[in-house]
Amino acid sequence: MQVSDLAARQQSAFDFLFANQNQDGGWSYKAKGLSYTEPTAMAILALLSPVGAGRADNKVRTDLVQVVKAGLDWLRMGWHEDGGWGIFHEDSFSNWNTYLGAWVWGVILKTPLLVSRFAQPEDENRLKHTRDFILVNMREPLVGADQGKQIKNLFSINYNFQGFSWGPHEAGWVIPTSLALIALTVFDQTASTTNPIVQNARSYLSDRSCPVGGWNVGNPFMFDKQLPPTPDATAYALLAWSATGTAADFYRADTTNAAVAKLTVFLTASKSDLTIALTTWALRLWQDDPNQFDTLAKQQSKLGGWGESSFVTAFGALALSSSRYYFKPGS
Amino acid sequence: MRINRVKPKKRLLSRRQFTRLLLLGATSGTIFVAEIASRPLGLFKWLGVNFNRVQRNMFGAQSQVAIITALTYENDLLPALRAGWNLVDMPDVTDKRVVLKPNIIYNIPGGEVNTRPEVIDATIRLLVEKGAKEVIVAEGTAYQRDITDLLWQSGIMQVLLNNKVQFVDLNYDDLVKVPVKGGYASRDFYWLPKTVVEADLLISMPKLKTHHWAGATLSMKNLYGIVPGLKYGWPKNTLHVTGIEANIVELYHTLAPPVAIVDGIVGMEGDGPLFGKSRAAQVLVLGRDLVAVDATCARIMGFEPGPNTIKHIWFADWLGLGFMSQDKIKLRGVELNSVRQPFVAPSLIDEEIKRY
Repeated sequence: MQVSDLAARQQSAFDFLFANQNQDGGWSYKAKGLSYTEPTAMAILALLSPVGAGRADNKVRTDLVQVVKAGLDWLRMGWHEDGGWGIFHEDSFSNWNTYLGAWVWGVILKTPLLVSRFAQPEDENRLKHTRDFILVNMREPLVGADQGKQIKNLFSINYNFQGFSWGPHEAGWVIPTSLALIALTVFDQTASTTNPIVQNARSYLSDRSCPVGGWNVGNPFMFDKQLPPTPDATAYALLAWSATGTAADFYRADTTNAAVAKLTVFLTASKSDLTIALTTWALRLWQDDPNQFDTLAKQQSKLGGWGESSFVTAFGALALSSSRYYFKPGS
Repeated sequence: MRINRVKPKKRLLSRRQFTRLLLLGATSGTIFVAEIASRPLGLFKWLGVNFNRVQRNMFGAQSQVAIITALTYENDLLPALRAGWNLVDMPDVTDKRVVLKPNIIYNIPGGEVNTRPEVIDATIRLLVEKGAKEVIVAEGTAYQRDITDLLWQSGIMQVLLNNKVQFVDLNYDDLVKVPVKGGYASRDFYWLPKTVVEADLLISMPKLKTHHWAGATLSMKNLYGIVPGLKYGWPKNTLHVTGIEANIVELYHTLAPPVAIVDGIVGMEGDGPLFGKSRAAQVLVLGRDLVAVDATCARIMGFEPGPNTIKHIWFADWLGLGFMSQDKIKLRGVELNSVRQPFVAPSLIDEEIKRY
């Protein structure tokens, strides 16, 4: 697919997000739904590109600046005192959505152009508070040796590696661990080499990969049986690996190769707009295949979206982006 | 001689007052200890539950459960399902918005993991025949964030298309804060999908399976799929942390009374809910008391529910939410003994590591 085609499709996706922003400034999972933290964060991440992030051409879509501002105001309103976010404003308990809020504010505060356009003086300190919340509350608790041995016997996993959880002080799982790794690395690009918690979480991801390639929720085995990988966990883990390093500089290269192969199979077989958008985004970071956007392009509606969903469309727009501003802001 | 009489000091408390105070203190202490010991239920709720249970056992009507033979998925299941529905006191669905909640969990080729599309198809057609205004199929699958491909792989999507029935992914539905009715699981409320909360009738449609964490996954355990991953994560293990049994029963108690249609034509034994062996029980089990339906299913599988076996059935019965006891269940259709067959029991997982 031509670069110009990709750019046109991306602009069309931005138009869809523009048209489907809720009146309160947030975005929803499904058409005409309530605003939630996750789709709002993903839509903003996608829209940071046309308002200046990672652009060499300095072309800014001024019509989207207000859209992003309203989205950020919505996110700001949901930013809890403890530094976290819930699933939406009515949810007062901070949970995994904190990784998404931290990701968005990390990109903004590390990108000088976005700081001048969108940041407020207190945001920097609030984000540090968010980082602390993630490190203190969202990392899975270490289990005792006896319990650990049972876990090892049942699930063949190394209980010394601590992932990140969906809710405070719960067990770690692959998707929240991936999102936490991305948020912590966007906050500090050196984290994967200097922060032992981040390094341990990367080991967790490596340990939880399925023998056949890819990831599932986080249990590669159930008793003596292999639990198959799933597209979502595989895509998120590959996003995290891409954000925190390369296949060559840590872990086994064959882990990522096997995961990429598995994800390619998932993409080929999928009839789901969400899976197609998410897996295309992850694959783009790991392979250079000129045909990799074909399925995604085929599914895009005339209005520019995928599945009539802002959430899915945000993934589609991110997949089409040639810049990795969302992982390496300001670079 | 004048004797100076010493006026006795006035006691702060008379002996009688002291004894009363002691008794009051002892009684208050006992109540306090009982309150603590009976948590999360609490003493007063515990007393209420016991009163309710005794009353129900003495005066409550039997629960009706239908067991219908269905040999294979290849035959049209509508006649069998219709017969079962008409045998028991199922609710009138005329002009109702009915939500079907099957168990759709993983694509394990060759495994009888999910509620079969043939059963869903027959149920949709039955409800349309009975005058339902709208039928919706809904699930919030536990092991992955996107259910679409699973719907295609399981054959359920084709059924939805054929019957022009809407599917709602409960993991992403708009949410409603619903206060719990029991208070058994140390939580005050659940965030639950609007589609389920606003349904006129919910039908739990599980697969007859053994389960490592809960002993068996039947119509009450199937309600876990209603809890949105969006809030509780995937695979929703936060509910395990606060007690599997307590949360199953809490959900059942909190939701408007659902009914059950259990797909037991081919079930799963042993290493369930994902890797067990297929076991043809050749039955459909229906009823509106999910405790009685699940107890009957357990017995078909050769298990007698109790405080140590499929505990949530026993717990729901103990709370007075339905009947587990055989003499309080009026069975219709085929004889239980004619379809009973011993399923291989699952190896159960310790309480401490259920969060994984």
